[in-house]
Amino acid sequence: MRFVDEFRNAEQAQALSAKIAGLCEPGRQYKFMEVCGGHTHTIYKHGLEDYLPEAITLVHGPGCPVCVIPMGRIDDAMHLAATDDVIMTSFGDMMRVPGSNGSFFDAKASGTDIRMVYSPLDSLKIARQNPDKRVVFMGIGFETTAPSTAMTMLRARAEGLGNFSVFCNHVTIVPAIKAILDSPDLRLDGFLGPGHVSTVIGCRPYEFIARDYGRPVVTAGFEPLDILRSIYMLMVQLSEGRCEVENQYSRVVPWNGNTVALRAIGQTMDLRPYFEWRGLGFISHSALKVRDTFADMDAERLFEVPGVRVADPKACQCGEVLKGVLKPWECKVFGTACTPETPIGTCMVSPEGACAAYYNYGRMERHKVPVTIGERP
Amino acid sequence: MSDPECHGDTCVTCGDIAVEVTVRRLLPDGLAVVDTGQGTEEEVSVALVPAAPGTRILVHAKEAIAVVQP
Repeated sequence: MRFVDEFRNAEQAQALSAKIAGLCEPGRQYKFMEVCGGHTHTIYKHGLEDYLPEAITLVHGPGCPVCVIPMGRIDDAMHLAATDDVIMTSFGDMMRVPGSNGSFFDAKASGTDIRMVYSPLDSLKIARQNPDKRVVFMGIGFETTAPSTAMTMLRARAEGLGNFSVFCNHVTIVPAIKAILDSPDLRLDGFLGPGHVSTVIGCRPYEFIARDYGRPVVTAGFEPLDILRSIYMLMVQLSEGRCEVENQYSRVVPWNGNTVALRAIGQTMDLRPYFEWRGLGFISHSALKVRDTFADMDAERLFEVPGVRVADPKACQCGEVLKGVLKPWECKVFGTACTPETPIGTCMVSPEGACAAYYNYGRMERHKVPVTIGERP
Repeated sequence: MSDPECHGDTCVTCGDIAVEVTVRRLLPDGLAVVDTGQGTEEEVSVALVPAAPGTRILVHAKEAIAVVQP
């Protein structure tokens, strides 16, 4: 099968592994951050750490949109969902994220009208079918998801649909990467750039990382060989003393991104002055809000939203995990009080969260699980 | 419409993961029917990409965001 055989070949993985090991300078340690939660998932699903020499450590970045949403925004959404005549619609992962008083699923079980959807387009259908209700879409995600929300708003406007709105929590990846680069906690040698975010924004926005911070970036695909090739490309750059942005995932990532999608986002949303990220705090211009010209679809203007700030549970160390300072198993509650069934922190909720990836694939520490590359689940 | 459920081991909606599908036929209003490769067809938006029957596209939250280069 194309893209399965082609990108999961064990022999090629072993050859790449040997080439990567051959580029390691004796005595030097390398730390690469995979920005995207999808990459974290692939790395643990296929046991890719076992293909890397001891000298290379992969640090998991903040690229899981569910994981970085602060608890206060969940509480705001719950408040909104409890408003009369509102039908709240949300992606599946978001349904399980705990707020101060339970999750969307808990609220749904108590009778609040919260419905799970696959896309904002499904929310639009619900709005058409329920003209006497006000349908709110919980917009969440990076630039991968923002185009879908943007197009849905444009469609709602074209249809003249008056009962659809968005509670906008879309975030942008580049300011978060910059915040990590500015953080004194962590010294990284390079980045695996997020694959599907880059189909929209392209590779150009990462150029400052190479230019101003002297770190190489390789935009990577999601198959096991994509990731190993990208790590190899980072190692080649370091060994040659180069520092550039390269595109390993050129089969879907155009260098300039998807300009039509960017235009749709620009028509419907603009940057917030600042937004709070779990673990990273407030980051300037790191999230999107609904544009003034679409105020009639902005749930934050249409409804009362308390704007609460809630501290994370004391035991939860998602913040440190999201910054890559702690490995998931180093968190005090990992795998004991906090599991995918009863998550305390967001990193355990989404399958893309680093903690869930470690837990689901039995990674309680490095080098424990046999290699599974080439096998289909 | 029945309530959707999450299938598989990664969420294709809220994460930074998109799935590759093949366009079967174009519909009005920038929509298209696609073959998911798993024996099912689905309706998605292709308003943001140049799509024609047979084009492989990358879809996220039912919005095509990129064309897969052959």
